[in-house]
Amino acid sequence: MSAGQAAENPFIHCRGVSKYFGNFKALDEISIDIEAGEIVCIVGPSGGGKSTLLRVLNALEPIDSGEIQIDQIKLPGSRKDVEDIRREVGMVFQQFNLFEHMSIRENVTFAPRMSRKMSTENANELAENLLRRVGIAEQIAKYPNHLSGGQQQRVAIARALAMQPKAMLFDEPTSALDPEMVAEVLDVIRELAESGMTMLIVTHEMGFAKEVSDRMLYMSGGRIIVDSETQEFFQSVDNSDLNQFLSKIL
Amino acid sequence: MWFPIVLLGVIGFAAYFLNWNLLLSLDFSVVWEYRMVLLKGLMLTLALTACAAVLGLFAGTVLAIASQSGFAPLRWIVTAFVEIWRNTPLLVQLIWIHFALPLVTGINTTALESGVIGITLQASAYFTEIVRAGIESVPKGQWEAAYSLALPARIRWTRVILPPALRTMIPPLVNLTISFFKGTAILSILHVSELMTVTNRISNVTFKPVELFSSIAVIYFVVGYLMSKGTLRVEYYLQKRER
Amino acid sequence: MRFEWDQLIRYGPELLQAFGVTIVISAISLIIGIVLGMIACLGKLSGQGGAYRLSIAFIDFFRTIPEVVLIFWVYSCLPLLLSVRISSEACGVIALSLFSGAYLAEIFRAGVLAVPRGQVDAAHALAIPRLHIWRKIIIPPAIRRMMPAFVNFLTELLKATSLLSAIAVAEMAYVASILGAKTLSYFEFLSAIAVLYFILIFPFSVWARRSEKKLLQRTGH
Ligand SMILES: Nc1ncnc2c1ncn2[C@@H]1O[C@H](COP(=O)(O)OP(=O)(O)O)[C@@H](O)[C@H]1O
Ligand SMILES: [Mg+2]
Repeated sequence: MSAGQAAENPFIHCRGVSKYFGNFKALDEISIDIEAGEIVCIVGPSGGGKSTLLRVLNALEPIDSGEIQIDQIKLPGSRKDVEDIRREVGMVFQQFNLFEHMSIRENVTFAPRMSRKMSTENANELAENLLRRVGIAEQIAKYPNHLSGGQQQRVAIARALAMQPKAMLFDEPTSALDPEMVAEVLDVIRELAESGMTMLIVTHEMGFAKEVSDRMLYMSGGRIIVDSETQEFFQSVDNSDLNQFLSKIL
Repeated sequence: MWFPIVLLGVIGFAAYFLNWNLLLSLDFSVVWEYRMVLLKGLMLTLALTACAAVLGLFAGTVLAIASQSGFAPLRWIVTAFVEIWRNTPLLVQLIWIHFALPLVTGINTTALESGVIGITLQASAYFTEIVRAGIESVPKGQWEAAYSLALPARIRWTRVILPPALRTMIPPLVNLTISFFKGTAILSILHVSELMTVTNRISNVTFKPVELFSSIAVIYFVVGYLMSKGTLRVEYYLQKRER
Repeated sequence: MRFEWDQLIRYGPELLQAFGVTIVISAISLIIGIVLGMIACLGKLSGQGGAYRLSIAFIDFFRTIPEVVLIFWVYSCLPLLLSVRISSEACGVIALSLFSGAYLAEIFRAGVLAVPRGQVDAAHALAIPRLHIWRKIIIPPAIRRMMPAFVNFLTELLKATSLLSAIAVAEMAYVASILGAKTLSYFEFLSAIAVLYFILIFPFSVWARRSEKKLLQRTGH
């Protein structure tokens, strides 16, 4: 059932990736390839391993078996490989995880300065551009707890983009938001999608997923049950699990 | 309504048992007479407190970070150090360092050196626990954000984890510093010339223990009280500025 | 240097007796301290009036002055002021009781204040008599909540007994110093009592931490 485009050099490449928490198998032999520029949405029931998949792709969790390769860097790998992967891949968390004791400007400029050794002026200019792009340039001097959830999440996206990653991972970016703030965050992600960024998005917003993604994954029990092109996914895939899931959520 | 009756009883009781002759002959001028000596003692007390607080906090922070290490033997060493210094009395540590340790090392330390070593080591053990709790109070998401932005370990600690951790640590750090302010008096067992030792010496030559010990009790109280109220005010101010 | 085990064995009985003195003095001071602490706690909880002010003064004063100063004050001033003879053990007990009373008052108070206000209000609304509210609604959960701090205080009290060596109470630290001076085996005796103190105090530390963890799980924050 894999979409299985066996391209020469997929940007993200996973082979037989398994992850255990104690005896519990959170990821079960995951194999998937994602092309540069591809936008993939992941859906599935809670506890299905979606977050864990994103976290291993950002080397936040070590894997127990299998192999991951992102832009020619392999995991498991050295500490330097781990840091390189994190520089290449930006991550946006459900709970934003902004640095509470830093202003918005510092939040966005901090990582490029510290991790990419960018000069303060360049980092400031970059931050201003990114914050304008996500629509909160005027909040630059404030602190995270002065901002609404939607604004905080947009800052978090700008913060990840400031590292100039080649791919972005979103773990339920709108799930912690009040309903009226969901749209403003999705708009930013949509704009990013149009710019050609490679993205992996875990979401429950089916309409959004259908609209932006090239490809959909359905995960459950630590496995990728369905992997198909978006059109097909919503129309013709015949999988009782998935159909049940979709009927519940749509 | 029961309170005045009890109070009256206590006063009556005291009036009967108190040695009024002595009480009426109390002469606090001795405190004024030795004011410079006492003041010098107080200065040493404060210097020792500062020493315990600053060195202890520094060592405690280093040990707390070591206690988060992935290398298990390092964690065990930190734990053993902390438990040993926390679960034995400071007085025993001091006399052990001053009298027993030189027999093994062959290095004799002065009373002041032994006192500083003892109180600093105990302080670092206590500070380790507080810093560790502070570090563990930083939400997991902050760590993950730092990791996912590939921040170097030194930056992660000094700029992301420790600043919010320190904020939650202020009240326990204040309490701990005050408890080491009190602890300096224990150094009198080694005759380190801090306030308590000095008072003992004056009392031995003037035979006025009531005046002297009562006065330094008040001095310790006032200084300790100001330390606790003053620093909590600073914390309140910091919190207000942040809003 | 050789570790002189035979000296330790020879004076073992003295050390063990001193171990007993440490425990007995702690126990007596603790009991008197609990009584004083309850009185001062109630006084401070009353929130106004003379009893309130007196309790606050008592708590703040005896928590803030160094234990050594308190011990010396009781030892060298109290007998003069009352013109009676007081044994050094009794002085030690008096000083440690005052110290315990002040600390325990705050610990008790924190326990009582941690009982959710709603429970007390509900009991009032049901017109349950005051005494019953204290006995059935406030005290049982308050005891559970203050247990970690209480056990932790026990470790502080046990450590504080060593300070009584300064007024020649024959507890462990004093006996070890005397024996060390007599035999010149300082290292052996001082190390031995350090170990004894650790054996005595460490279990309470572990207990305090355990009960704190359990409490966190139960109350969920
Ligand atoms: N750090 C962890 N320790 C133990 N179990 C975990 C941990 N993280 C995730 N899990 C378990 O792994 C499973 C998959 O979790 P997750 O990837 O968060 O699912 P999803 O994001 O699809 O809801 C869940 O059953 C969860 O309980
Ligand atoms: Mg999840």
